[in-house]
Amino acid sequence: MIKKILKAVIITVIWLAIWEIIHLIVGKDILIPSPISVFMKIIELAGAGKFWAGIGASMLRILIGYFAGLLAGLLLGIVTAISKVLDAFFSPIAKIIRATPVASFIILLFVFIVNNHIPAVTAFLMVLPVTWANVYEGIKSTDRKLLDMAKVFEVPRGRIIKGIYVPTIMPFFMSSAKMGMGLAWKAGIAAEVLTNPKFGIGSSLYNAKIYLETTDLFAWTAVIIIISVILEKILVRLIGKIYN
Amino acid sequence: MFALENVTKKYGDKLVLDSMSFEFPDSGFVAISGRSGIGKTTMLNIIMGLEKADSGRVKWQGDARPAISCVFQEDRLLERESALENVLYVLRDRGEADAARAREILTELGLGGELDTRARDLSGGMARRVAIARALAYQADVYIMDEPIKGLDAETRQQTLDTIKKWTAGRLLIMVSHNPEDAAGADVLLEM
Repeated sequence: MIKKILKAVIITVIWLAIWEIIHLIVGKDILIPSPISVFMKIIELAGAGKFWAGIGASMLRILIGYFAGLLAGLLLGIVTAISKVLDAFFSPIAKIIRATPVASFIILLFVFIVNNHIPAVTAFLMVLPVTWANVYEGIKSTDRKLLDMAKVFEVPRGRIIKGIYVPTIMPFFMSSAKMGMGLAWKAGIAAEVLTNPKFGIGSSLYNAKIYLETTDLFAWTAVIIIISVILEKILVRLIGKIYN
Repeated sequence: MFALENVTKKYGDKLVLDSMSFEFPDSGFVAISGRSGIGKTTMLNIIMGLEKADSGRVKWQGDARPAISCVFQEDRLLERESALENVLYVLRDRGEADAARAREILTELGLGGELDTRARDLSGGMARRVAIARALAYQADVYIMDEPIKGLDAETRQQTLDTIKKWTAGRLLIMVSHNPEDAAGADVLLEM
């Protein structure tokens, strides 16, 4: 464990040193700020209430879209795996969502919904197809021989779902939950940059860009990465608990 | 109990069962033998309703199919569940009486110390005996066993056979085996 931490610290220090060297070579804070000034900026930002309000608002929007996407993907995965008719009916939608660029979605959503809701809907649209495809795959890969066993013993339907289908789908669902978190977070922030809500990490990124505050831009990007890593760690731990 | 009437089954061009007829007794031990690929498992699957015959039928006495229990060629266990949970999984009410029966059979099969061990952590021989315990704990009229003791060592084989015969006494036991010793004491021998 200590060896692992030490390894991570050494690698981080090396990369920070490379960053500092690049900063010194370029010599202009407006292009590449130093890691120390970015760190100080994060500390400064963290002292303001707006910082936490922005993080809270972004997390709330994106997590609402994320969980809605998980739920919808789960339901669509189940119904399309069970019914060939529904599979044929819904499969073009899945293909369209998968093939459409995030930016197109965000711009299209401007026409239909309130700006504030666009990041949540974008996150939803990122998570939906991944979860849908994984759950579908999970159900299709259910062991036919176990189902035959349950049939011979006349095991009730509810017990078949709990004992055979759920354990088969869970690894697929959990993998999409993990992958979807990263997708939702990045796409949701991108949507905030374009929609510029009053509070949000994306709005702060946008403002930093407008005013050429590169240190702020780097600080916010670091915050996005840190939150993304924390959310993923929490999710992985949660998944581990549920799954085991 | 039931009879096969002119049952025919083909896989593509390969004829596996050719107009097979056979009347099974109401109870007792029916041993089935025959070389690999002759259609023993196919016949059992047709009896259990897992496959359909191309022609012919399984004629059951009375209106409904009686309760059937089975040991498949593969263990077909729920990997994440314990040995005991695997047995309880197929039982009807899973109350205290069922649980006691399950524990008793598992213990008789030498798995008393493995009740809470997950199926995926059991050895091949242990998993096989859990599959047998599951079939025996399920109270059925017909017990179908497709090479149930394959892979068990000589001592465990005999002990397991004795347990199978004890818990299926008074019912119909249909057992496929390539080993003539396993068929010792059979009431009916069906050579395919």
